[in-house]
Amino acid sequence: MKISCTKEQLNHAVQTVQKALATKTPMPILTGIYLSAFEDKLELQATNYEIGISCIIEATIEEPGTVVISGRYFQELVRKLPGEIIEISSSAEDRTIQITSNQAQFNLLSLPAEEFPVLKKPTSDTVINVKDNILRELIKKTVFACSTDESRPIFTGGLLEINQHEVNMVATNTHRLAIKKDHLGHNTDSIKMIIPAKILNELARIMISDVPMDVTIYCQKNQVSFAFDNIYIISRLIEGQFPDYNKVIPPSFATTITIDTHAFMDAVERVSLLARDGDYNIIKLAFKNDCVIITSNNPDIGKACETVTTTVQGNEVEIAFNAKYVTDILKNISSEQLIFSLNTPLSPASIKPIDDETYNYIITPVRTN
Amino acid sequence: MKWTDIIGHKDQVTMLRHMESSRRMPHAVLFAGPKGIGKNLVANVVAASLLCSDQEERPCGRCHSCQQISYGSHPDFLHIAPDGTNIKIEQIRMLQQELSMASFSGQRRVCIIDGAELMTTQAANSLLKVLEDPPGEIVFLLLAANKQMLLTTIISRCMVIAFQPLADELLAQDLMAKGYLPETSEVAARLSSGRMGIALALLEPEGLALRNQALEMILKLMDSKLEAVWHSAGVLEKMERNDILEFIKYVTYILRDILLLVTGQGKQWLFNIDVAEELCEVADMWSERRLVTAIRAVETARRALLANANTRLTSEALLIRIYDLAREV
Amino acid sequence: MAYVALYRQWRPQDFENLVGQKHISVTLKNAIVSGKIAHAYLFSGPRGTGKTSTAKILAKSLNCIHGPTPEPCNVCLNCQSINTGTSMDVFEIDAASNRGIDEIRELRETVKFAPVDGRYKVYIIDEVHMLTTEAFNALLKTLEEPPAHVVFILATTEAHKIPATIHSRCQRYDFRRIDAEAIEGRLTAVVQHEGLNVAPDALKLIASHADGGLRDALSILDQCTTMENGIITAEKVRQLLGLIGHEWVWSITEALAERDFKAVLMALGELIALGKEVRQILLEVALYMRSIMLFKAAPDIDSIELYGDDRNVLAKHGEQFKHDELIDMIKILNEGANDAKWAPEPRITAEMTLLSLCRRSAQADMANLLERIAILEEKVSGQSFPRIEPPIIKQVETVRPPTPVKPVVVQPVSPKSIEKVEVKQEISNEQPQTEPVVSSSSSSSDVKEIWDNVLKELVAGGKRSVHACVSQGKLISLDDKQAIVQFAAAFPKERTEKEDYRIMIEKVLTQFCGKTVQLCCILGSAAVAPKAAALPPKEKPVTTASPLEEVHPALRQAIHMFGGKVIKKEEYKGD
Repeated sequence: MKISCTKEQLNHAVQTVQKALATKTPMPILTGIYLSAFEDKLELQATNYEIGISCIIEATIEEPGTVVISGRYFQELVRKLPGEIIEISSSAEDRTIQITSNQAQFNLLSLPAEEFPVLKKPTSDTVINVKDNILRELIKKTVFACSTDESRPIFTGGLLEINQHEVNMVATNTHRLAIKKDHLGHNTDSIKMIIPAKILNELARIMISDVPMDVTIYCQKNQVSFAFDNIYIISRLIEGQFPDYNKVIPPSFATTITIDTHAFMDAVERVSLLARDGDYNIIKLAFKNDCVIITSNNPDIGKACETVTTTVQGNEVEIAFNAKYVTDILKNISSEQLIFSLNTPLSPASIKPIDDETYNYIITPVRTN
Repeated sequence: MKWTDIIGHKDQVTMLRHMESSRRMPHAVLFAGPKGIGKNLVANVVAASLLCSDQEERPCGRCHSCQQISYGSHPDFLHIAPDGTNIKIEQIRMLQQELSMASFSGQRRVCIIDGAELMTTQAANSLLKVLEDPPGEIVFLLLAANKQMLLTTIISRCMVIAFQPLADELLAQDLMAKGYLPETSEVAARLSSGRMGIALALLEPEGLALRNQALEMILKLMDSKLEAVWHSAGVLEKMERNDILEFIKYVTYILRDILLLVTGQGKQWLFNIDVAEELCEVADMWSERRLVTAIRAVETARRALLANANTRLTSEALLIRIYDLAREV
Repeated sequence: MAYVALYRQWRPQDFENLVGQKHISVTLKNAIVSGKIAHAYLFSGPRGTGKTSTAKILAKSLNCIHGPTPEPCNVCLNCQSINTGTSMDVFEIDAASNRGIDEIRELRETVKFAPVDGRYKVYIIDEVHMLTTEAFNALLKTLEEPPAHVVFILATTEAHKIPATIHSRCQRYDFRRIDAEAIEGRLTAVVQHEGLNVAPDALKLIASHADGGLRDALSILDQCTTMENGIITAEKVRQLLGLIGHEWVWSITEALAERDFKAVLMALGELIALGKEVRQILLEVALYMRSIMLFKAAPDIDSIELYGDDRNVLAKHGEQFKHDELIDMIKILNEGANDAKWAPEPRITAEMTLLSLCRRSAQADMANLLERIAILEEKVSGQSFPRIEPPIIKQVETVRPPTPVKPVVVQPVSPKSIEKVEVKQEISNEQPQTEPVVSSSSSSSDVKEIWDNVLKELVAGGKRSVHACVSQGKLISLDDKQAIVQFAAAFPKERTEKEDYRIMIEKVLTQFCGKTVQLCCILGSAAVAPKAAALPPKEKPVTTASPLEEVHPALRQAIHMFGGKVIKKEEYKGD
């Protein structure tokens, strides 16, 4: 193989794929970045079998071929190379790769390329096209609700659910649940898959184009691929059945309030300052007389109380929540006002933006004595 | 790696092949049997055929899966072995995490746990859940040299397939087929008690060194002065721990062989068939009672060494005991 | 589609299908009906008896849409989500993987949350014995006063590892080993439902081999059915389980009855060649011995597990063994089986065990042994001490075992007693035929024994310093008047010749030989002919038998290693 390309492009590609490099693995080949040169293109790949990322850049190909190069060193040295143009060539004899830029020259030992589990360009019967901003929104508004507890793996991922022209993303840790819906421009088969939260976060981070672009999602039984721009990402799915979240959403509420998002969030954050060090980070909310009284009580530190006026429709109710679960959702609501709906002190409540049926957040109260 | 590479274990192989081909492989199988009899090879062949995509002959050795196995990079072939002396809970946690994801190929997975009896209590207990109710399709192959060391709760979750050493003749034949000389094959087969891995080690150039040393020492103890004890104990002290245990094993073998000769069983069951002549000669000096006592003394010494007793003192005590017993004390 | 093991397919889904734990299912059902649900339960018991299954049934009973009910429907969404492990309110926690205090703290926080769609939040903490002490302590408070909607179910095989403080906060249910009949009943149901072809006696064998664990039983059944397409017979099960089988056990038993070591060894060798596990052989013979023992004690007893069906054979074997004999043999066999677990070569352990069984006679024959002791006691008491004369030697000779090359002929005396007499005799009487006679009146061996006795008596009498000095000498001749003691060094000789020591020794000598003698000390010389030439090579090295001035090699080594000088030279072999 013998190629040359710009440092900027190569660096971008390497930084993109290096997130998929394996660190602790019994399989050394997975610590390498795979380079494949063909028809004026250079493809870089890395995989740790959980996530695989491919990135294609333009290059001048003098001699096509494939090599695998130690990811750790390649990544660092590409960033630090002095010149604008980088030349890479490999020698089959002594299994080394030569990287030249300006006066700098590196000779790196190569890993056996034939052992690399090359990612295949995704194909699937079930293909969906989504704009990247929609996908990013789906992810950002839900994934924070995922569990980090590995002992129940299905809750460490987000459910991507596609039904005809509707696309939903759902995440829960069994004490709260976030659901965001959107529409597709086209009809497809129904799909349900649980994608690991860390991969969704990674995806949201990589999709940073200024203009909306198409993301193609290829769905398979065991994995899902996202292709956009010159990149594709393959992720394994979490095994298992996601609980029926519709059952968690209460069909009706006895109390409903509409409240200013910012005022409420500021108040909650202030009051929860004292709750933070307590055992359960608990704040109490009392809905009565057209206001919400937010209180917290920490025997070691002190008390806090703040009242936000609003309109309360329905029964008066007092209820307690984990403060973090409340602030998490308030940060994600972009509308000026939100709707808070409740039933009893011990049944789940709902928080959602006003005039937006596509976003909903269910939160289970905490029992206090 | 093919089914035909496996020597012996006919019943076990038949059963495993049948389960594989009829797609009735249970999700947890325990291979129990002494070290060095080929459990690992069998497990790897089973794994390869479970993962192989060929319709006819599994493992085919040609398909993508088989190739990945040969590179050691098959994503759905998990292999856990002791990290140091034990399998630790972190290794099982990694496994649990790995298994919570769908398999890479979308097909079934195979997980070999080699040295399953070396799991720490914590590791073994944390395997229980996933071993009983694994997510997705997976086959666990647990390999254990000593089934007794496993938790009953582990055993109870597995289908247990017991592996036994090969018959000496069978092993000897196979060694000869591998190109070893008939006499040495016979000796290796007997001394390894039918364990291929060990037989092959014995056939290495210096393979018999420890045995010969053990024999030499016993002969020396029998016809020289007590001085021999000090010298021999000095030699033992400088050995590696495992070598001493091995050495002691050969001492037991030799004494047991003499015991068989003394009780008039002839040579047919001897381990040390190659030195039968020497053993016959010294057998006159021994009585059954003293041999039994001597063998017990060796066992006591072995246990002491396993419990980290001082090597020098233990071996001196043992050698003096044998020295005395050889002289009817 | 993956094959699902029988024990996973046949997990009980309601109290009706819970096998062999009636005492638990009845109590729990009553509790559910009467609404007396405890905060915390502790389910303990051996593997495969239904602890986790019962915990799940209880969770379903509490959260079933029609509940709380003792008969969960297994159809409603709540039941189904519990069955598939996706319930938002039922948490199965694997305490073995989440054993630290952090995990329990997190749990403590989550119990506060109200249930999402069920009535109760149920926490099933499996393998709870694996929690760390800190984690247990962290759990204590939550266990004592959990929120009203929370039920904890702790499950473990090792209840003894649960702290008492946890115990006392839980309602404890002990799951029992399931008896063989109940297992057999369940297996029969499974076999019928799955359309399997299994002989009834095969099921019986599986049930008894499962050792009280239903999961084990279903595993074995699974294995049998995956292997065979035709009818599964007891013989096939036996083969699969690696059992030894009637014929072999019988033939080993008969060989043992005959004390035919060779035949036993043959059987052992063949079984090993057949691929049987050595330990299994010992265990099965032990079990059969137990069957014989039970049969002898109570011929009508039903619970003879191994080969109890063939009473004629049992009766025949019963006649060949005495009761005590059987008890001893079972003990030896069990010990052997135990040793074989850890032995590097179990075969040798088995051979040794079987050898000692073949040589058992004398050991087992207590009556005979007692008789022998009585005779010996009689002889000892009838003899006055000083007379050490041939009669004893002769008597000893009669119990000497035959030459070592041949198998030991069983003698009506315990090997132990042989040993003792033999040892004594060896010390006192070293090859009397070949030993040159040094003294006119006493054989050298007699002399040696007397000397040994003298030395012993000195120690016994607290004259250690005298002994230390005198023991460096050796009595080489003893007649009516004189006892000649030879020393290798001058100092001990001179010291011994001094009056205090001399009188003391003369007194003791008199005591042992019944005559008044005079002590005469000489310095070591070649006066005594070396005996080496006369001795066969297997005898003790000359150095230990004759008073040569040459320093013992061991001693030389010691001097070399530690430095110093020889003050007193004591024979290595001394008592």
